[in-house]
Amino acid sequence: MAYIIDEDYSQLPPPPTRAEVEADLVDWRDRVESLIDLLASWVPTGQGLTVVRGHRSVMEPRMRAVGIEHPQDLAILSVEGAHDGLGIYPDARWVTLTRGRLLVFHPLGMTYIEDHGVLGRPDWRLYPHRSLVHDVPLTHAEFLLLLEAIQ
Amino acid sequence: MKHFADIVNTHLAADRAFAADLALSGQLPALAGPNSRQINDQAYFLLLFAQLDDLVTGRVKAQIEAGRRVPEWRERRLWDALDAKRAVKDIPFKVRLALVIDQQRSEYRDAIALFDIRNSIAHGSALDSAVSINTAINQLQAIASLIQEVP
Repeated sequence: MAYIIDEDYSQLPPPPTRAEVEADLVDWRDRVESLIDLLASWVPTGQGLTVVRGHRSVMEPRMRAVGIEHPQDLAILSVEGAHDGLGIYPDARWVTLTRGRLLVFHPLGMTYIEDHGVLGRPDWRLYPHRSLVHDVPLTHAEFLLLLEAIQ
Repeated sequence: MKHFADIVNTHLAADRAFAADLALSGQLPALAGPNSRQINDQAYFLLLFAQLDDLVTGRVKAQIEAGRRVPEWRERRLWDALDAKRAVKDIPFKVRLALVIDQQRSEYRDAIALFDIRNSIAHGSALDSAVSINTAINQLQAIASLIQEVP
């Protein structure tokens, strides 16, 4: 196996400040809340599906690194069907190559929703069970496919 | 990238094991530690990036050898100017990369961004965040495809 000469090590960005992390957490909470609102609105009525909203406390290593001691409460969504259910939970704001990630617990196995957008313009992507390493836009149609397995 | 698929599949299995623990208990078992998923992602990221590094090194080595065989001095002189005693892997990664990918391509910029992440992990300054391995896989595959297209 080859290895790399780290000629650019000195160019690494400085670690974020507590104020930057706190601002990011507010933005993350708002993005998650908006996404959960949207997904809940996409659950069809009259088809035996029950929507349960709630919150989950999340503590991330980067929060501890800047001295934040209290976890953050973030929105979660569960959808219960006749035979099974799915749960969507925020995983972490700080996931390199993304602007945050949520876990999707599903009868076909866990998968991810990630924000690949930029500040102010989220781009939510889903890794569908038909191809767990290729993301697709998280559309209404893709969400309905997720719901099919629990109906 | 001869071991790439094996590494991807092994990460998938490990990630599913973490996911199963999360689904059962809502948190990872105490033995795994609070940052275990982040560390797991980062370890696999390094393995995957090393596959790209190996590919780049192999391509550059072939280019240099082919270039030195060209009879016409005007075409051969730049390859001859490279220190023949210097191992290809000792040429800085960004220089090697520029020899196999057009620097104007988005894949070049993605590769540099991945290299920065690699450096950040390798020097222990990013252990507080997970990595979207799926996104990394997609980007690494796109970069590798481009390199393999170039004769």
